[in-house]
Amino acid sequence: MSDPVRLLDGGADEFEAELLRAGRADAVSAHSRKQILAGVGIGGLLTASTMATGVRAAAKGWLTTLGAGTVGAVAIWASVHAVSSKPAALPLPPAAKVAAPVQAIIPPKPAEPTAVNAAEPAPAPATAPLPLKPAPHNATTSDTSLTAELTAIEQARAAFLAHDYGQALRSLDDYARRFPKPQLRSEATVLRVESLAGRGERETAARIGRDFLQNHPNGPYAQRVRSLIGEGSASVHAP
Amino acid sequence: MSVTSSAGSPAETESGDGAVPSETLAAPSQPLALKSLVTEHLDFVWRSLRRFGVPAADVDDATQQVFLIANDKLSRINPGSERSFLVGVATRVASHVRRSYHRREAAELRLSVNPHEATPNPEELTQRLEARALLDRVLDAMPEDLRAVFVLFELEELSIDQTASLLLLPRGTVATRLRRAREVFHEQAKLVGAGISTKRRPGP
Repeated sequence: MSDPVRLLDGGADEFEAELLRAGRADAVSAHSRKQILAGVGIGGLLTASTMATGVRAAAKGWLTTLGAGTVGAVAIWASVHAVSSKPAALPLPPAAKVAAPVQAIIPPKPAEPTAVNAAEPAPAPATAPLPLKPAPHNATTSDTSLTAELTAIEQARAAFLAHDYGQALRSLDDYARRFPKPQLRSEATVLRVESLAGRGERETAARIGRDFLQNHPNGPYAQRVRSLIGEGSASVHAP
Repeated sequence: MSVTSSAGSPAETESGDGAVPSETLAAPSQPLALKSLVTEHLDFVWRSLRRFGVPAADVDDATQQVFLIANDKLSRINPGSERSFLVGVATRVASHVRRSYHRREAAELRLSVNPHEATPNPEELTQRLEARALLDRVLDAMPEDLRAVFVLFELEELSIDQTASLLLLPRGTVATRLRRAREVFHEQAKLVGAGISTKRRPGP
C-alpha cells in the first residue's frame, strides 16, 4: 500500500506549506551539539574547566525552571554526579581531573517507554527529591567546591519540590553557613524566595526578592523573581 | 534516513518498549554504545523534541535528558530498535517539559529561539521564526498521539511503515492518526492564519 502524498507535496495551502517548511528547517546548531555531547559525557573536551562551566550552565538552566522541576533538574543532577562520583568510564584527556563517568550520569528514572504504544501519553516523570549524597564540607578546588555547592542547592531544591519548604530553607541556611563566598548566590536566593513564598512568608519573600532585584535588575532570574513577588508589589504568589 | 524495524521480535512482544530483559544480553561496552547512540541519533532526537513541543530554549537540555535515560537503559535496548526506544523516551520527555512549561506560565518563551542557531538574513530570520512559532501553536493543539505521527511523517519525512515501526504501532493506526492529525492541522492553521490575518503572514 502506498503512502499518502505529504502535505508539502500537495494538499497544503501556501500558509500551511510555510509552516511546514519552517518545521522541516529545524536543525541542531554546532553549539548545541557541543553542549549536548559534553552534557552526556562524550564530548571529548571534558577538562576540569569545561566541566565546571557545564555544571554552572546546568545550574543556570535549571533555575529557569525552578518550581516546575523539569529537564534542568536532571541536567544538574547528572552534572553533580558527573564530577563527584565513580571513576571515569570513558577515555578522557589527562587534564580531565574531574571527569564525567558515563555510568555516573544516570538520572533516577524520570521517564522511559513502557507501553506497547510508545506514543501514548504516560504519567509525568517523577520530580520527587533526587537521591544525592551530601557533599564533602572540606572542598578545596574550585570545581569540587562548585560541585558541593550544587549538591547543597539541589538538596534544598529537592525539599522544595517535595513541598517541604521548611527543610528547603534549613538547607539553604546550611548552604549559607558552609559557603560564605558562594558561587551560586543568586540561585540560592531565588530558591529561598520560592521556599518562603511556598511557606506563606510573603513579606519576607517580597523583601528578599526586592533586594535581589535591586542588585540584579536585569539578571537571568529577575523575571522569575518579579513574577514571584508580583511585579513591584509586595504581594507574593505561591509557587 | 534509515529506520530499522524491530517489530515482531520476541523480546519486544513481551516488553513492548524496544527493550529486552537485561539478563538476556551480554553486557555491552556501554561507553562505546552510548557514544554510538548519541552520534547516530542526536540530530533526530533534537529535531523530534523540538517538534514534539519542547521550547527552543529547552531542547538542548531535553536532548541530554533523553540520552541520559537511554544510557541508564543501554543494556536493555534491543539491538536494532534504538531509534524506536529514543522516540518513546523523547515523546515522554517532551510531554513532561511541555506540562512543566505551561506551569511556569512563561508563554513569552514559546517564541524564543536558540540564540546559537545559524542565522540567515534578518528578514528571512523574522519570517522563519514567525512561521516556526505559528507551527508550534498549530502542533500544540494536536493530541500527543496524533502529533507524533504527524511530525514523523510530515516533518521528518518518514514513511508510514517507518513511522509505525518507530512508534510500535500497526500501519493502519498510523494512517488513521495521520488523517486525523491532518484534519487538526488544517483546522488550526486556519485559526492561526485568521488570527494573524490583519498582520503580515509569513511566507512569500
